[in-house]
Amino acid sequence: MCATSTATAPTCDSSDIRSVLLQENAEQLQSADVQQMPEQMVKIAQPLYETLMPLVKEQVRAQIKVCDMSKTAVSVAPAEFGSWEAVAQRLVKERSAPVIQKRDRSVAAVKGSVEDVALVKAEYAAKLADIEADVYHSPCELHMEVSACYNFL
Amino acid sequence: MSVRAQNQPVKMESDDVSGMLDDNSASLTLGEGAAGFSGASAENPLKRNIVVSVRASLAELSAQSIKATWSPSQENLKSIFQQRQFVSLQGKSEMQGDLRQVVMHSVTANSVKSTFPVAVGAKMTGVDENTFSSQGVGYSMIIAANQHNNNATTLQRDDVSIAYDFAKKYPGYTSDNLESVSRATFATLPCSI
Repeated sequence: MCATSTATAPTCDSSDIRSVLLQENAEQLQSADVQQMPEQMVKIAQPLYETLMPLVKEQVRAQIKVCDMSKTAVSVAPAEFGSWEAVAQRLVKERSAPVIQKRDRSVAAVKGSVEDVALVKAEYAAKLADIEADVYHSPCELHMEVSACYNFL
Repeated sequence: MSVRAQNQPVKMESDDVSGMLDDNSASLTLGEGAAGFSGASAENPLKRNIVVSVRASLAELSAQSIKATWSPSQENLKSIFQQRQFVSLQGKSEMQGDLRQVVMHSVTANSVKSTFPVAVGAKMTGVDENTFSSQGVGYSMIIAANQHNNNATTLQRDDVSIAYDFAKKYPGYTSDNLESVSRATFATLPCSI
Protein backbone atom coordinates (compact mmCIF):
# COMPACT_ATOMS: atom_id res chain seq x y z
CA MET A 1 0.00 0.00 0.00
CA CYS A 2 1.29 3.42 -0.82
CA ALA A 3 0.10 6.87 0.05
CA THR A 4 0.17 9.68 -2.46
CA SER A 5 0.99 13.12 -1.24
CA THR A 6 -1.03 15.89 -2.79
CA ALA A 7 1.10 18.66 -1.34
CA THR A 8 3.19 20.52 -3.86
CA ALA A 9 6.87 20.46 -2.99
CA PRO A 10 8.77 23.70 -3.41
CA THR A 11 10.99 23.60 -6.45
CA CYS A 12 14.73 23.82 -5.93
CA ASP A 13 17.74 22.68 -7.90
CA SER A 14 20.00 19.77 -6.96
CA SER A 15 22.80 21.97 -5.63
CA ASP A 16 20.40 23.49 -3.10
CA ILE A 17 19.30 20.04 -1.98
CA ARG A 18 22.90 18.94 -1.67
CA SER A 19 23.75 21.96 0.45
CA VAL A 20 20.79 21.33 2.73
CA LEU A 21 21.68 17.65 3.12
CA LEU A 22 25.28 18.53 3.77
CA GLN A 23 24.25 21.02 6.42
CA GLU A 24 21.91 18.49 8.04
CA ASN A 25 24.63 15.87 8.11
CA ALA A 26 27.07 18.37 9.55
CA GLU A 27 24.63 19.23 12.29
CA GLN A 28 24.00 15.55 12.98
CA LEU A 29 27.69 14.98 13.33
CA GLN A 30 27.85 17.98 15.64
CA SER A 31 30.58 19.36 13.53
CA ALA A 32 30.91 22.42 11.40
CA ASP A 33 34.04 20.99 9.80
CA VAL A 34 32.31 19.91 6.62
CA GLN A 35 32.61 22.27 3.72
CA GLN A 36 31.57 21.87 0.16
CA MET A 37 34.35 22.56 -2.28
CA PRO A 38 34.29 23.14 -6.04
CA GLU A 39 33.97 20.15 -8.38
CA GLN A 40 31.60 18.31 -6.04
CA MET A 41 34.26 17.69 -3.43
CA VAL A 42 33.79 17.79 0.29
CA LYS A 43 36.39 19.10 2.69
CA ILE A 44 36.40 17.60 6.16
CA ALA A 45 38.57 18.12 9.22
CA GLN A 46 41.12 15.58 10.45
CA PRO A 47 39.11 14.32 13.47
CA LEU A 48 36.06 13.80 11.31
CA TYR A 49 38.18 12.07 8.68
CA GLU A 50 39.50 9.66 11.29
CA THR A 51 35.98 8.98 12.49
CA LEU A 52 34.54 8.43 9.05
CA MET A 53 37.38 6.52 7.45
CA PRO A 54 36.52 3.13 9.02
CA LEU A 55 32.91 3.53 7.95
CA VAL A 56 33.89 4.42 4.41
CA LYS A 57 36.29 1.49 4.30
CA GLU A 58 33.53 -0.84 5.40
CA GLN A 59 31.23 0.59 2.76
CA VAL A 60 33.84 0.16 0.04
CA ARG A 61 34.67 -3.34 1.25
CA ALA A 62 30.99 -4.25 0.93
CA GLN A 63 30.94 -3.03 -2.64
CA ILE A 64 34.23 -4.34 -3.93
CA LYS A 65 35.56 -7.52 -2.43
CA VAL A 66 39.19 -7.91 -3.41
CA CYS A 67 41.36 -10.94 -2.66
CA ASP A 68 45.08 -10.76 -2.10
CA MET A 69 46.26 -13.77 -4.07
CA SER A 70 49.93 -12.86 -3.71
CA LYS A 71 49.99 -15.01 -0.59
CA THR A 72 47.73 -17.79 -1.80
CA ALA A 73 47.87 -20.78 0.48
CA VAL A 74 45.84 -23.75 1.58
CA SER A 75 46.33 -24.89 5.14
CA VAL A 76 44.81 -27.93 6.77
CA ALA A 77 44.03 -28.62 10.41
CA PRO A 78 42.16 -31.35 12.26
CA ALA A 79 38.53 -30.27 12.20
CA GLU A 80 37.46 -32.09 15.36
CA PHE A 81 40.64 -31.82 17.42
CA GLY A 82 42.65 -28.99 18.89
CA SER A 83 45.97 -30.14 17.45
CA TRP A 84 47.64 -32.86 15.40
CA GLU A 85 49.20 -34.19 18.60
CA ALA A 86 45.70 -34.70 20.01
CA VAL A 87 44.77 -36.60 16.85
CA ALA A 88 47.80 -38.85 17.18
CA GLN A 89 47.13 -39.56 20.85
CA ARG A 90 43.50 -40.42 20.16
CA LEU A 91 44.43 -42.77 17.31
CA VAL A 92 47.11 -44.50 19.39
CA LYS A 93 44.60 -44.96 22.19
CA GLU A 94 41.94 -46.37 19.86
CA ARG A 95 44.27 -48.80 18.10
CA SER A 96 46.00 -49.87 21.31
CA ALA A 97 42.81 -50.66 23.20
CA PRO A 98 42.19 -54.14 21.69
CA VAL A 99 45.89 -55.05 22.00
CA ILE A 100 45.93 -54.02 25.66
CA GLN A 101 42.81 -56.08 26.29
CA LYS A 102 44.43 -59.09 24.61
CA ARG A 103 47.62 -58.58 26.67
CA ASP A 104 45.63 -58.54 29.92
CA ARG A 105 43.91 -61.78 28.95
CA SER A 106 47.25 -63.38 28.13
CA VAL A 107 48.77 -62.25 31.45
CA ALA A 108 45.80 -63.72 33.33
CA ALA A 109 46.20 -66.99 31.43
CA VAL A 110 49.85 -67.38 32.56
CA LYS A 111 48.62 -67.74 36.18
CA GLY A 112 51.29 -66.14 38.30
CA SER A 113 54.52 -67.21 36.62
CA VAL A 114 56.62 -64.06 36.90
CA GLU A 115 58.94 -64.90 34.04
CA ASP A 116 56.08 -65.80 31.70
CA VAL A 117 54.20 -62.62 32.66
CA ALA A 118 57.30 -60.55 31.86
CA LEU A 119 57.64 -62.36 28.54
CA VAL A 120 54.02 -61.70 27.58
CA LYS A 121 54.26 -58.06 28.64
CA ALA A 122 57.43 -57.57 26.61
CA GLU A 123 55.77 -59.11 23.56
CA TYR A 124 52.78 -56.80 23.78
CA ALA A 125 54.90 -53.77 24.59
CA ALA A 126 56.61 -54.24 21.23
CA LYS A 127 53.23 -54.47 19.52
CA LEU A 128 52.05 -51.26 21.22
CA ALA A 129 55.25 -49.48 20.19
CA ASP A 130 54.65 -50.57 16.61
CA ILE A 131 51.14 -49.16 16.74
CA GLU A 132 52.40 -45.85 18.07
CA ALA A 133 55.13 -45.63 15.45
CA ASP A 134 52.64 -46.50 12.75
CA VAL A 135 50.22 -43.77 13.85
CA TYR A 136 52.87 -41.10 14.22
CA HIS A 137 54.98 -41.82 11.16
CA SER A 138 52.65 -43.10 8.45
CA PRO A 139 52.28 -40.34 5.86
CA CYS A 140 48.81 -38.93 5.31
CA GLU A 141 47.90 -37.33 2.01
CA LEU A 142 45.39 -34.79 0.79
CA HIS A 143 44.98 -33.96 -2.88
CA MET A 144 42.51 -31.45 -4.26
CA GLU A 145 41.91 -30.10 -7.71
CA VAL A 146 40.49 -26.62 -7.41
CA SER A 147 39.18 -24.34 -10.16
CA ALA A 148 39.32 -20.61 -9.62
CA CYS A 149 37.55 -18.04 -11.83
CA TYR A 150 38.79 -14.53 -11.24
CA ASN A 151 39.86 -11.28 -12.78
CA PHE A 152 42.27 -8.51 -12.02
CA LEU A 153 40.99 -5.09 -11.14
CA MET B 1 46.28 -20.07 -27.59
CA SER B 2 44.52 -18.64 -30.55
CA VAL B 3 44.59 -15.09 -31.74
CA ARG B 4 41.37 -14.05 -33.44
CA ALA B 5 41.04 -10.88 -35.42
CA GLN B 6 37.95 -8.94 -34.45
CA ASN B 7 38.11 -6.47 -37.32
CA GLN B 8 38.59 -6.72 -41.06
CA PRO B 9 42.23 -7.16 -42.01
CA VAL B 10 43.92 -4.02 -43.22
CA LYS B 11 46.79 -4.16 -45.68
CA MET B 12 49.92 -2.56 -44.28
CA GLU B 13 52.48 -0.89 -46.42
CA SER B 14 55.13 -0.91 -43.76
CA ASP B 15 57.00 -4.05 -42.74
CA ASP B 16 56.94 -3.00 -39.12
CA VAL B 17 53.39 -4.04 -38.43
CA SER B 18 53.93 -4.20 -34.71
CA GLY B 19 54.67 -0.54 -34.65
CA MET B 20 51.17 0.19 -35.87
CA LEU B 21 49.63 -1.48 -32.86
CA ASP B 22 49.50 0.64 -29.81
CA ASP B 23 49.63 -1.01 -26.41
CA ASN B 24 45.95 -0.62 -25.78
CA SER B 25 44.71 -2.34 -28.89
CA ALA B 26 47.25 -5.11 -28.43
CA SER B 27 46.01 -5.84 -24.95
CA LEU B 28 42.43 -5.96 -26.18
CA THR B 29 42.99 -8.36 -29.02
CA LEU B 30 45.93 -10.47 -27.98
CA GLY B 31 45.05 -11.30 -24.44
CA GLU B 32 44.40 -14.61 -22.82
CA GLY B 33 40.96 -16.15 -22.69
CA ALA B 34 38.46 -18.03 -24.77
CA ALA B 35 37.32 -14.93 -26.62
CA GLY B 36 40.62 -13.14 -26.57
CA PHE B 37 39.52 -10.79 -23.83
CA SER B 38 41.73 -9.36 -21.20
CA GLY B 39 41.36 -7.06 -18.27
CA ALA B 40 38.34 -6.66 -16.04
CA SER B 41 35.43 -8.36 -17.74
CA ALA B 42 32.62 -9.84 -15.68
CA GLU B 43 31.59 -12.21 -18.45
CA ASN B 44 35.02 -13.57 -19.26
CA PRO B 45 36.97 -14.24 -16.09
CA LEU B 46 40.29 -15.99 -16.12
CA LYS B 47 40.22 -19.62 -15.04
CA ARG B 48 42.90 -21.69 -13.40
CA ASN B 49 42.89 -25.31 -12.27
CA ILE B 50 45.18 -25.81 -9.33
CA VAL B 51 46.18 -29.06 -7.70
CA VAL B 52 46.82 -28.79 -3.99
CA SER B 53 48.78 -31.56 -2.32
CA VAL B 54 49.65 -31.97 1.32
CA ARG B 55 51.62 -35.01 2.45
CA ALA B 56 52.98 -35.43 5.94
CA SER B 57 52.91 -37.76 8.93
CA LEU B 58 51.20 -36.79 12.16
CA ALA B 59 54.60 -36.49 13.83
CA GLU B 60 55.71 -33.99 11.19
CA LEU B 61 52.45 -32.08 11.39
CA SER B 62 52.77 -31.87 15.17
CA ALA B 63 56.33 -30.62 15.05
CA GLN B 64 56.23 -28.35 11.98
CA SER B 65 53.06 -26.44 11.22
CA ILE B 66 54.45 -25.45 7.81
CA LYS B 67 53.96 -29.07 6.74
CA ALA B 68 50.19 -28.53 6.91
CA THR B 69 50.31 -25.65 4.45
CA TRP B 70 50.42 -25.69 0.67
CA SER B 71 52.01 -22.43 -0.31
CA PRO B 72 53.73 -21.81 -3.66
CA SER B 73 56.47 -19.20 -3.88
CA GLN B 74 55.72 -15.65 -5.04
CA GLU B 75 57.24 -16.36 -8.44
CA ASN B 76 55.22 -19.52 -8.87
CA LEU B 77 52.02 -17.73 -7.85
CA LYS B 78 52.69 -15.11 -10.51
CA SER B 79 53.22 -17.87 -13.03
CA ILE B 80 49.97 -19.51 -11.98
CA PHE B 81 47.64 -16.55 -11.76
CA GLN B 82 49.00 -13.76 -13.89
CA GLN B 83 47.75 -13.28 -17.39
CA ARG B 84 50.03 -13.62 -20.38
CA GLN B 85 49.46 -10.93 -22.93
CA PHE B 86 51.15 -10.61 -26.28
CA VAL B 87 52.28 -7.07 -26.86
CA SER B 88 53.68 -7.38 -30.36
CA LEU B 89 53.31 -9.52 -33.44
CA GLN B 90 56.89 -10.73 -32.98
CA GLY B 91 55.54 -12.84 -30.13
CA LYS B 92 56.74 -10.68 -27.29
CA SER B 93 54.60 -11.29 -24.26
CA GLU B 94 54.32 -10.04 -20.72
CA MET B 95 52.77 -11.40 -17.58
CA GLN B 96 50.24 -8.90 -16.30
CA GLY B 97 47.94 -8.50 -13.33
CA ASP B 98 48.33 -7.39 -9.74
CA LEU B 99 47.83 -10.42 -7.52
CA ARG B 100 46.92 -8.16 -4.61
CA GLN B 101 43.83 -6.94 -6.43
CA VAL B 102 41.86 -9.92 -7.60
CA VAL B 103 38.10 -10.11 -7.91
CA MET B 104 37.18 -13.72 -7.24
CA HIS B 105 34.17 -14.96 -9.20
CA SER B 106 34.03 -18.54 -7.98
CA VAL B 107 36.08 -21.35 -6.50
CA THR B 108 35.16 -24.98 -7.11
CA ALA B 109 36.68 -28.16 -5.73
CA ASN B 110 36.59 -30.59 -8.66
CA SER B 111 37.98 -33.59 -6.83
CA VAL B 112 39.22 -34.34 -3.36
CA LYS B 113 41.13 -37.33 -2.06
CA SER B 114 42.21 -37.66 1.53
CA THR B 115 43.93 -40.46 3.41
CA PHE B 116 43.82 -38.57 6.70
CA PRO B 117 42.18 -40.78 9.33
CA VAL B 118 40.23 -37.83 10.73
CA ALA B 119 38.15 -35.02 9.28
CA VAL B 120 40.37 -32.22 8.02
CA GLY B 121 39.43 -28.57 7.76
CA ALA B 122 41.00 -26.61 4.92
CA LYS B 123 41.41 -22.84 4.80
CA MET B 124 41.90 -21.40 1.34
CA THR B 125 42.80 -17.93 0.21
CA GLY B 126 39.81 -16.41 -1.54
CA VAL B 127 37.22 -18.70 0.04
CA ASP B 128 35.20 -17.55 3.03
CA GLU B 129 35.49 -19.66 6.15
CA ASN B 130 31.83 -20.51 6.50
CA THR B 131 32.04 -24.25 7.19
CA PHE B 132 32.25 -24.98 10.90
CA SER B 133 33.32 -27.99 12.92
CA SER B 134 32.28 -28.92 16.44
CA GLN B 135 35.30 -26.99 17.69
CA GLY B 136 33.63 -23.79 16.51
CA VAL B 137 36.41 -23.08 14.02
CA GLY B 138 35.44 -21.91 10.55
CA TYR B 139 37.02 -23.47 7.46
CA SER B 140 36.66 -23.00 3.74
CA MET B 141 35.74 -26.67 3.55
CA ILE B 142 35.86 -29.76 5.74
CA ILE B 143 37.01 -33.02 4.20
CA ALA B 144 35.77 -36.20 5.82
CA ALA B 145 38.19 -38.92 6.92
CA ASN B 146 39.49 -41.02 4.00
CA GLN B 147 37.25 -39.15 1.58
CA HIS B 148 37.49 -39.73 -2.16
CA ASN B 149 35.13 -37.46 -4.02
CA ASN B 150 35.07 -36.64 -7.73
CA ASN B 151 31.91 -34.54 -7.63
CA ALA B 152 32.51 -30.86 -8.20
CA THR B 153 31.60 -28.74 -5.18
CA THR B 154 31.22 -24.99 -5.37
CA LEU B 155 33.09 -23.49 -2.45
CA GLN B 156 32.52 -19.83 -3.23
CA ARG B 157 30.49 -17.88 -5.74
CA ASP B 158 30.19 -14.13 -5.49
CA ASP B 159 28.01 -11.61 -7.27
CA VAL B 160 30.71 -9.49 -8.80
CA SER B 161 28.51 -7.08 -10.75
CA ILE B 162 28.67 -4.46 -7.97
CA ALA B 163 32.43 -4.85 -7.81
CA TYR B 164 32.79 -4.24 -11.54
CA ASP B 165 30.49 -1.22 -11.41
CA PHE B 166 32.50 0.17 -8.53
CA ALA B 167 35.81 -0.52 -10.29
CA LYS B 168 34.53 1.21 -13.41
CA LYS B 169 33.48 4.27 -11.46
CA TYR B 170 36.48 4.39 -9.13
CA PRO B 171 39.30 2.55 -10.90
CA GLY B 172 42.02 1.28 -8.63
CA TYR B 173 40.20 1.92 -5.37
CA THR B 174 39.75 -0.81 -2.80
CA SER B 175 39.09 -0.75 0.91
CA ASP B 176 42.77 -1.52 1.50
CA ASN B 177 44.27 1.35 -0.46
CA LEU B 178 41.91 4.13 0.61
CA GLU B 179 44.43 5.35 3.16
CA SER B 180 46.99 5.94 0.46
CA VAL B 181 44.58 7.85 -1.72
CA SER B 182 44.77 11.61 -1.48
CA ARG B 183 42.05 13.07 0.67
CA ALA B 184 40.77 15.30 -2.06
CA THR B 185 40.05 12.26 -4.17
CA PHE B 186 38.75 10.32 -1.23
CA ALA B 187 36.17 13.03 -0.68
CA THR B 188 34.47 12.06 -3.93
CA LEU B 189 33.89 8.48 -2.82
CA PRO B 190 30.27 7.57 -2.11
CA CYS B 191 30.34 8.04 1.62
CA SER B 192 27.20 9.20 3.31
CA ILE B 193 28.35 12.27 5.14
